[in-house]
Amino acid sequence: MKFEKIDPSLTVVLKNFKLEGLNGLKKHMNSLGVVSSAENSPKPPRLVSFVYCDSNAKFDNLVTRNIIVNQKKGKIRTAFFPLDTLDEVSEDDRIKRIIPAQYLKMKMDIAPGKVNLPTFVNSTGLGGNGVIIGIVDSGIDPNHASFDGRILKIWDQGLSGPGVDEGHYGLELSGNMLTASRDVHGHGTHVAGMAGGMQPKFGGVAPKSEFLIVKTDFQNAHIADGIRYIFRVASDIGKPAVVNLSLGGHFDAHDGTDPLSQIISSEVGPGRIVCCAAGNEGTDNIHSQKQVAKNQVRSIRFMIPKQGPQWAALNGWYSGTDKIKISVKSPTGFNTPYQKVITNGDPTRVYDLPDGKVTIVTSPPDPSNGDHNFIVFVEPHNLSSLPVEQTWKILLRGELINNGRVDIWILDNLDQQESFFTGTSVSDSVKIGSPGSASEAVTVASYTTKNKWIDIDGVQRSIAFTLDSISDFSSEGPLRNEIPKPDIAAPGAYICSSLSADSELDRRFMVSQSLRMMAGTSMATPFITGIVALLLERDNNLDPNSVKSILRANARIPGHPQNTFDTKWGHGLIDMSQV
Amino acid sequence: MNYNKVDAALAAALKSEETDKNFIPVFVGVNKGLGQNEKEYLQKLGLIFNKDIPEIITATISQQAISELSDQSWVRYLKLSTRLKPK
Repeated sequence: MKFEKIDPSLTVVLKNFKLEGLNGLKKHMNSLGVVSSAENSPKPPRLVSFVYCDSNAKFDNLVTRNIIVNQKKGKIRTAFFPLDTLDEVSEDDRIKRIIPAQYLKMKMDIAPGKVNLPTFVNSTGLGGNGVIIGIVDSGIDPNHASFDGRILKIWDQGLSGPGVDEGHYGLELSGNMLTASRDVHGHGTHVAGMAGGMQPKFGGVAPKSEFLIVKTDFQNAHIADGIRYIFRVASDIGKPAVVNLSLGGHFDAHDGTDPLSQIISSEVGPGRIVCCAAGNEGTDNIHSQKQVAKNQVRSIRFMIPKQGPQWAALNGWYSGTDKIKISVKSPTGFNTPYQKVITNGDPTRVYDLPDGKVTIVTSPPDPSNGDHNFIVFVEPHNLSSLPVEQTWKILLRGELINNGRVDIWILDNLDQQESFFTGTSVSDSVKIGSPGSASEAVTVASYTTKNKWIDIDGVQRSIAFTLDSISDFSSEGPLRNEIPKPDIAAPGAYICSSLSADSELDRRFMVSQSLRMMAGTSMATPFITGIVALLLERDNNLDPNSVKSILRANARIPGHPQNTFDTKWGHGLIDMSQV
Repeated sequence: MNYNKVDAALAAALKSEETDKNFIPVFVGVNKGLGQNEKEYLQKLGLIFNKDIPEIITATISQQAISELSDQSWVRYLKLSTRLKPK
């Protein structure tokens, strides 16, 4: 037996069969392609599987052993054979790998079916042929079968090298060198698989497309370089491209005027589309919005958790026609002075309060939108020794008010527990930051199509997400300047897609050695990216406005008339049946 | 340093002791249609453009370079590049 050719889940089947006979197979019959037989049947248990083999290999000689390979040609074929011949099959030099079929396939197919994608693909024959999918993310597993021969280039921004025209850092890889870049996070591989992966158990939306990959360090300047790189390379080879950005942050004005959003708007055009995630802050208290009147003081409360980064960073914006002073009040009642906009010299002031260090930055109006931006950093003293979390306050005093609205976001602390607004200071809106706020981007919300799966160990897992509805975590719009976002909703929870072999993962989220479950607007975005690739195959010159028009015209919020906009759903769930 | 062209996040980063002042990732907003002089100026800072200079430049530069750029009439703004995260 050549175990290295056999999928681990099949090894478990064999072990159980040897230990318990037919009884040992029962637990696998609902999940894997094991076909058992009645206790007294002369037929042995059989296996429905995929076999990876040489494209032109012939298997006619195996028929006498009841080993049936269904196709005459192809690198991946389906097969049906007695379980007790597995040893013989694995020893066959023409066969490279054996993976059992999974009944899970039907469940994984839920997402495409929910938006009638199979109907569209079957009627049009589109697969993304001749279209570039650009992924700017944590990288890709270049050895994954989903992307076999379809990754044109990887710009790994973290490797040492001369870089590319768009940035003289990192290393551009192609051909055999692609494997020098690894995806240890796994996010980018999953995203790429969703957009255009091709494999027997689960395929992406546009499996005939080709990939340009930017493995980024997530600096938004470098993400901008990555977008420019993808469009330039795609242009050089004369192909349309759609760039997937399953990432975001809140260190911006939330109105599409930040540099990354502006670069996206300048880079897109006919045959050049960008799709962005709306964000996963739908249930997070990261935004506060207050109306401030002249001579009035409004307070905004926020809490810094004891377990976490032990600091808070806040990003505030208000109209350039208003004059508002900012102060911070500590948990034991100590205030910083009220700080006005500082137009002469460094706008940063640092205050050492008994409860902690406070930094307030009050800059002149931002030249991109004319609005005022202020930043507040709070670093409490000895937070971990305190018995409870600390509630701090930002105080806003109106001096001259024409508009009066102030929006503040608590900034992401990457993977750590974040600070959050509390009580009436919480505002569940305007939570789509850059680059989802880019006016020309297609900004995607998440819809839940699946909340149960069977993991690699055969255990059913479930998550308390409401099925067939917008995902709770999907961030709400509109933008701060009232522009409607997100644009569209697509399946984003829970999605089964490619697993990077280099990523570490909780086995509960592993479905097999090559597939994993993930949820987020990160997963909804490549679904739309894949759909855009199909549309670009049909019409190479579609621009962002025409793509959005098509998507909007074929979307609906359940129970509402078409063209209804909702801050959580956008224009609703995409439906490909009439596209 | 012309702080009127520096955004709040970059001003805070320049003040912070945790910032490596030699390598600060920024966006630089510049006027449209810059000429050869500006191209050569940027080249001295290590910013090389084979084609036209875009209106928004990305760069990783020193505090000194930020200060000098902020004093150029053709520079509209300097903004800190921030780290995004996978969604």
